[in-house]
Amino acid sequence: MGKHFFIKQQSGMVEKNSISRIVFCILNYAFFILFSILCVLPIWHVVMASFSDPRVLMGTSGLVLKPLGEATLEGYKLVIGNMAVLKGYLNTFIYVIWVALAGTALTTLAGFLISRADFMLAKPLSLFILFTMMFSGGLIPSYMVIRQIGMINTRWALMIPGITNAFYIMMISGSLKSLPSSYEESAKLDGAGPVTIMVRILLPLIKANLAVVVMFNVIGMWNSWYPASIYLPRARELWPLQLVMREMLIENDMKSVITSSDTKNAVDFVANLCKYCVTVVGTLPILCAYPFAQRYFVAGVQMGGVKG
Amino acid sequence: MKRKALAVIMAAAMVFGLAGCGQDGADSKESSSGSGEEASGQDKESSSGAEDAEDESQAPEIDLSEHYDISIWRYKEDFKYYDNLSEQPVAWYLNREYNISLNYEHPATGNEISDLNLMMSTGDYTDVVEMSYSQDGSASLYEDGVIYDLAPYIDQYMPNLKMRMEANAEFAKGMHDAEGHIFTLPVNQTVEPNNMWGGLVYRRDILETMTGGNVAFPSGNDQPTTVEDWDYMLELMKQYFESSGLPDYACLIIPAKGYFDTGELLSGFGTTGTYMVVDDTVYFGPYTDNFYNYLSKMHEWYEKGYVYQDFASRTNDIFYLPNTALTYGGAAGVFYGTQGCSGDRMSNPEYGLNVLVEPCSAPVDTEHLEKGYGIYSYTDSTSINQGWAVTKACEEDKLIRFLTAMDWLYSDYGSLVRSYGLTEKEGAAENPYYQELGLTEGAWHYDEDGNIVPNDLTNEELIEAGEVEDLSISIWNLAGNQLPGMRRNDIEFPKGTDTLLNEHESEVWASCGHENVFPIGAYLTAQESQEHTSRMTTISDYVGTMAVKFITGSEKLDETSWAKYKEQLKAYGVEDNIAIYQTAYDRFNQ
Repeated sequence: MGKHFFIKQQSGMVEKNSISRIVFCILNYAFFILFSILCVLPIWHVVMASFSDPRVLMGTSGLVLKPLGEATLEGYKLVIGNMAVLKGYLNTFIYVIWVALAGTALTTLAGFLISRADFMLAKPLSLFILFTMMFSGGLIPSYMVIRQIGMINTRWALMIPGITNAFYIMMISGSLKSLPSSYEESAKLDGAGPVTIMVRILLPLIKANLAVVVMFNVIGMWNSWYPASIYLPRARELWPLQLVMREMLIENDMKSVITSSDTKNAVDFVANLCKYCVTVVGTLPILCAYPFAQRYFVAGVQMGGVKG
Repeated sequence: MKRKALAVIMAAAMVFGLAGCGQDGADSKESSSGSGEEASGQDKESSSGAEDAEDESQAPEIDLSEHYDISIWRYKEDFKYYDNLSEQPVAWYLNREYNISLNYEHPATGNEISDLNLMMSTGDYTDVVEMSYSQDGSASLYEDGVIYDLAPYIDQYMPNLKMRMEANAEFAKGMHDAEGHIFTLPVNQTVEPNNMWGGLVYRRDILETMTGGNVAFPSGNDQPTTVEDWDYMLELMKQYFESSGLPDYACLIIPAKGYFDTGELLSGFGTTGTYMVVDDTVYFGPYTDNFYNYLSKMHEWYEKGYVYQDFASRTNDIFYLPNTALTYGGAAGVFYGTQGCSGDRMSNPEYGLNVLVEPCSAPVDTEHLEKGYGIYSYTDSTSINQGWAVTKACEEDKLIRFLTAMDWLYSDYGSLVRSYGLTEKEGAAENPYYQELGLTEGAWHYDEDGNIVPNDLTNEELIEAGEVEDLSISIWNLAGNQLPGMRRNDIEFPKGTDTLLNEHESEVWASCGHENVFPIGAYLTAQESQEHTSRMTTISDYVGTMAVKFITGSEKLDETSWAKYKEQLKAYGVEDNIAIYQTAYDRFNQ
């Protein structure tokens, strides 16, 4: 079937489809349509629930395919009107931009360094970096180091410790190693130094891998909440969006138990609605950004197929 | 050479980055101490708060000239008017009067235990720790040198608290360990609160519909009180739901582990989910034969289709919010409800859902018992593991100032301010939150007869503007109820329909009493606590797993399997754990 299809594509000839091919295509399309629906459905459920009447939503089980009851923006008004959410957005953007720029720059520098065959420390450094991939100091020692440096309750506690990732360094190093040495040799003959070779010759060739690193860094930082909860306990104004939203979700669940004053109220239906709104608000930007980066992922996968 | 230069540049970039962080941290320290110096510039030799305390007992002379920053670790709540308790009006007043700054540090909600554990394990303590989330227990923290024994300081610097302790032996007993140490500052309540936050509720409207308004429980009571009553009620509910054509319904929703840890349902069968006391003997509920009776009845109800068939799979439901699609969708008969469920408050008339919900007590297993057990968690007690502990990070001078300020909250007048907020005398007009709410004359005043009257009762504008929806809630948020001290119940708030319904709920849920509750003041020593915890996880997991199996019938419940179940619990060390609790109970009663 594969060979048959290949010949058809190459020659540009129109060929009558066989029954087996038609069946295959139908099943193939059906499978992927179903798979796409399965991927989209949970997102659709959350979006529709976020516009639903909170009381009706509370009394309904199963998938929500359209807003239940009268559609409302009440949940969004509460979430967006919350200053902590806006501050959270701002902080997350700061962290994301930082890690996208500084994180990628340092990862690239480190990857370039350990990919150099003639660099004496390349191997020990690689082993050192690999070691950190397998063994970490643990939470308490990490906390104590960060505290000793004076970074607790400052932005730097999130921006410095996780700025590079051993896996990404190895990935960049691997991509650089896989490039033909002739590029570098030609550049050297033309008098290019290491910085020129790296910036002007090699990095453009691994652009797709760099995009993957940027995207992974951005997504990782966008979704990150745990380090902030550990290192920024007394600096709520520096919390990223995900931690703000997590607290909102947990408080909505817990307040009827913990706060005596709130026990005088019945269950807060709008608080239940806010769960969905908060999820949409927190996911939407990254969801919108993803399609623009998708082509780099495709390019990154195709790079392995380049013939010498 | 150029490669080396590149490596040097990388290293330099890291060093500058780190230096930047250090600089930032230093800046914040400087600014913090700066504010401290500024505050210490205020010459405060006396305080009106201290004077008030002096009215009631012999207050010690304290030099207030030096300013102290006191850091306090405490979990966060929804405070309504502010995000951090440092802004709480009563804390604001104490700061001013005692020349201190109470700086609260609230961990991320949901991370309280890990944050506190991290703080304890790294030695990075705040001056004061609220102990609700501590897993180590005060005795253990004291033995490790983390917290102070406050007994000598209370004796010397807290005359008002001392007076309360002398006046209330039960209160004092709960504060001390066997060696006479006091580890925490407690909250003392003057009146038993009748404010339970949840319990069992049932759909009365279903029974009315099915009997044409002639509900006749076998016990002859107006409410379901015995197992026979529940048999009658659940059968009616089953018939109702079967005829309603609802795709999914539940006559009785129980938690995923098969029983309520808090004792609802179980108490009617003479048992509970944890420890209980009967005639001065401690029992572990799931290890008693009454638990067998409970499981046996639940299995029978499960087989009859009364118990929600999918209960065991609802592991993500919080026990007080069971399958909300069923409870709020009108498809549940008996379930756990939080305060505010009863009456028609769960109705949704726009969508044709009109329900009448009534609170109910646990059904008494009259076949084996004359009456149920008292498991209502009565809270008018103190415990060495609850309240505020002071860590060794707090220097002694600072500790004395802190205790002096807190002592005012145990005085007659100070406890009123703590419970109902600032008056004109405390400078309510200068407090930003009071200004914002137009309460410049304070939250309350004395009337001509000397009664305490809330000021915003008459503030119709605020009520109409929606700023003050519920007076008692507003007062709660403007007062200092999160601080240690004495809680007052002097004000009789006006009772609307909701309040009356809520009181009825509490009355029914608490009707079983609290005779069999293991006293909150009985504590375990550090070693006992460690031994107990090491066995308890296995025991709890086993009980939860087996209870579900017995109820659903996947494990046959008979005398043989019950004996085997008890044998297994014994092998897990349940009797050793009971012995530990018995020791703690006996020690408490000495």
